Amino acid sequence: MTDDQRYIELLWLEEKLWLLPEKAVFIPERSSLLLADLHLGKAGHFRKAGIPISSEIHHADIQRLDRLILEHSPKEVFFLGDLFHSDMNNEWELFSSFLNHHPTVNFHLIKGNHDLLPQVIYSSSRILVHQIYYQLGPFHLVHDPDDLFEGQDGFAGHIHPGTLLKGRGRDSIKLACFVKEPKLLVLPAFGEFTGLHCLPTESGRSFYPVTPQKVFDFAFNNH
Amino acid sequence: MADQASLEVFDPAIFFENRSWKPAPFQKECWDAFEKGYSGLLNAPTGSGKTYAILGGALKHYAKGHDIFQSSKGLKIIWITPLRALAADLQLAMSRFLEDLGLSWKVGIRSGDTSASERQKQKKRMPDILITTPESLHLLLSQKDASTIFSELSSFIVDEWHEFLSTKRAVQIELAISRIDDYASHPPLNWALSATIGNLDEAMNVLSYRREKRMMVKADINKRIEMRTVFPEEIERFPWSGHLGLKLIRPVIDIIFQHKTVLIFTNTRSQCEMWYRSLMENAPELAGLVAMHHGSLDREIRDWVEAALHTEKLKAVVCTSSLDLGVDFAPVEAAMQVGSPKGISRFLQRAGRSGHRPGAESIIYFVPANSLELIEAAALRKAFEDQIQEPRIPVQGSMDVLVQYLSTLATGGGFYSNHVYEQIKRTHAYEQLSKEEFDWALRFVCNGGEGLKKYDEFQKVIQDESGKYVIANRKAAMRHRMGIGTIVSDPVLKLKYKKGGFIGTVEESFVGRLKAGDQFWFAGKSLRFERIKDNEVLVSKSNKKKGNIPRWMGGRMPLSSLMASQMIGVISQANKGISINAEAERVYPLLMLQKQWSELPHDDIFLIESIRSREGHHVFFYPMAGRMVHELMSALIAYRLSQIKPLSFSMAMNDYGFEILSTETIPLEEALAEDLFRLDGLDEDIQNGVNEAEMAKRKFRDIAAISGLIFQGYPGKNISQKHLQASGSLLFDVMQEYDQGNLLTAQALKEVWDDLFQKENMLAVMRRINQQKISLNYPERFTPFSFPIMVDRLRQKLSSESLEDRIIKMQKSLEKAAAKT
Repeated sequence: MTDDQRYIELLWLEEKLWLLPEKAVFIPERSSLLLADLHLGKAGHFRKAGIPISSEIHHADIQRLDRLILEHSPKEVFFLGDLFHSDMNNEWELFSSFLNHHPTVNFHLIKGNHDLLPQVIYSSSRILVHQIYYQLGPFHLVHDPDDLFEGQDGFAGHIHPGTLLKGRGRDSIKLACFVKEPKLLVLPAFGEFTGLHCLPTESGRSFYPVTPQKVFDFAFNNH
Repeated sequence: MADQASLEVFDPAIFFENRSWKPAPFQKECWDAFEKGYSGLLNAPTGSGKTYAILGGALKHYAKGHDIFQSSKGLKIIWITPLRALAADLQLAMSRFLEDLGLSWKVGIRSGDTSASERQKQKKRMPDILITTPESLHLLLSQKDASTIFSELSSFIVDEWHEFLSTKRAVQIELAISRIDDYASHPPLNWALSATIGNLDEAMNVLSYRREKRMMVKADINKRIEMRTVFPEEIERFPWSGHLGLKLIRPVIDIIFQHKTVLIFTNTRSQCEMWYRSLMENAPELAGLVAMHHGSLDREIRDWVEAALHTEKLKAVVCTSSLDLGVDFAPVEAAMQVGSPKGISRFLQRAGRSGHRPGAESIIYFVPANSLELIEAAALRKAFEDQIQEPRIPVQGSMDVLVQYLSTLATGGGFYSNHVYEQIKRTHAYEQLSKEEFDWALRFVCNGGEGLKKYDEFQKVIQDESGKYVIANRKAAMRHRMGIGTIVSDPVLKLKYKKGGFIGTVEESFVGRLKAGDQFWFAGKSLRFERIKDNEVLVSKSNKKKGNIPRWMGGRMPLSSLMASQMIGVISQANKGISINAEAERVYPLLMLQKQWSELPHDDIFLIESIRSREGHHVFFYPMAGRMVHELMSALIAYRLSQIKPLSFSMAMNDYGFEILSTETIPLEEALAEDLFRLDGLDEDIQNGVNEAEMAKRKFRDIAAISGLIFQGYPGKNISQKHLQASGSLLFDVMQEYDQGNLLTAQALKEVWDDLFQKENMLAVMRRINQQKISLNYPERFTPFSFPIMVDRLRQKLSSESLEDRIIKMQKSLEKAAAKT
């Protein structure tokens, strides 16, 4: 792997995985793109409560997803939960028409705690909804890591993992990251309008912090 | 009877005559001033009868236009207090006064503690006098019938105004006054009660801004305060704060036994925990007689401590600023300050918490955390003999408070924009507010900011057919009322026993470093960390004796610039061979060693020390301006040095100076030749040297909460609220990126410069340096002034116990060298 490579390649259960700086995982052999916690519609939900958050933040997320699809041409795209935040609002329409722009891609949603839209709305879009989990080869795809059973290997979201990098003096920066444990890979939240939850270091847990340019592989010992 | 009563002349002096007391001159002066229609400020200490002075005056003012003995509807006097806890005592004192004067007036309280039934009663009929807080007052302004509540108001009083003045709560008070002026049939008189501060005139003018008739009344009662410094037996010439004054635990225990009750003030909650633990270890006979009081403890524990203080059950309470304010405890004979109070006012405030028995004087003991703090002790004694105190700078132009206020008015019956703009401009806080800024705030609450399209479905404030701005719907109104106020609580987690039982709160950052099984101290108890569940930290009891003490944020109080200049004064005198008082005399040998090995940073000299060690090249600068200013200055200096030679630095600082350290040679002489302290290009260089956006992000939480972007305080109320959570830093990022003209993010940046970095102070210091002679010294070893800064840096890097040994070793070898010279 060269230094200027933007993504990190991992081998897990003999499958190649790419951890992408766009905060998604691509499995080339399966032509599958995985992402978690988009939280679309969250800005609209906030606006209805009188907190002005521009929709543009979601447009940026969708554009990033669009670029990923053009670049990797996946056959399947999996949303690991929390795709659309809370109640119905105008931002759903926009997303729905985006899906129609990619007629060759199959979109799947594994439902998360924020996915509360009525079933008819999902049915009228190009999204196939799965409750709790979906099996992709040797992997279980879930939203909440707690939904994995003993012995299962899987991908999850829900946590919005982050890590705190410390610099000089009081200088420090929080970055979103992928978290890898022996039987689990947690994806960073794909949506920009989401927070971060910093996880403590533990043996067997690796962090891969993400900047828009690059995914890093750090050995941490300064926690 | 009624006729006879109406002929009676109302005179508050009767209250005094009944007790064969005599009203004090300042009380009569106040009554007179009110009668003549003056607004103003009364400067009087607690326990001097200031309440009677102001209340008597307010009644006299009302009696001029009304038959005061005839009961009539309507709220006549508003009395603002900073603490709910003070309200009950006030109510009692006022009721007694009114009764004696033959008035059947009702005194009501309205605060967060007021029951729903009491509020309902008040809604039907307001009491004649209402004791309340700024937050509850704004809640009244958010009621639909707000315009009718205040029509009879005749006086608007603010107690402890000095406590409000430099906070956003003062802005709320000013806004309320400007609104009530319009609602009242005659503009009420505005009076402030204030302790002595450095800018009393300004304090008066802010509260009675644009009142034509105003005057200041001074009680001229100087409560005697005695300052006693607890001197260490031996003055360390190489001081460090590692033991936080705990070396003095023996004399402190003796002092506790000499008095009925002592309040021991520490600067941080962790220091508080440490001192409590040390007292228990060194004086087990005090078990049960000493308690702890700080803001992270459960409210019930704190209430218990306060009650026990009243009833003389405690010999001592180790506390933080949590006991700076509040009801007076009669048994407290002495206060104690551990470590530098960083400001003269704070020291006096704490001293004043003792000696409330008639005829008693206030006593404050100063316990220096290290020998260098004797300079501070000397400065404190001087300042307090000269009777000088810090000013409190009023807050101006806060967009967050304005945004909240507009929603408050929209909720309370609505407003017209031009009218409200004029009204707001009548306050000191917004005298400079431009129409553009006001329009921005208005757009912000109406459609979220810029164009409608960008913020479709936005719902908060709307315009009705008449052009009046009103709240969009009931839900929005409810949500807004819950968020009224400017006090934002820290993001903390609840600390609970696994088996149940709430102990207090800790900050997330502390918990983040704990692993299951780790032990730590809290509330004087040894606890074992189990896990975090649903935002609660679960712990169990532990028997281990060693362990961490949580560090809470916010323990970093800035050194006041007045205090800093007093300290330079002490050093400058020492430089001439003069010790101005006993404290200065004790620290004199340390200062002389500093002078011998290097130089003293006095009035005319800006001292720089360049020292080499195995670690690399250390450069120490001594602006003597406090840690916050040094933080900003060190970033600036490091940036300018790196422009000459790209180096990697580490920085450390205390209140006296800062260190820049590099493993390579720092091009210091070259930098000085190029004028390292030049004033031009300053702003740009600072911006390059400091990650201001990162700081502003942290600051944004408060602003976001005040302007209604973050909801706090009603956990689990309903599910949709839970879906509305976003952190301040996330909101800051989003608004910076997608809403460039946002004035709230701009305010966050401004607050970083003003409050966090104290940019004005730094500019003043830079100008001072430009007039001083720069003196560059090359001492062979670390000096008494540089040693503590270097130790502080090591402490940040390492946290093991071996560190303490290392420091003591270094200290010894320096002492040896000093003994030779």
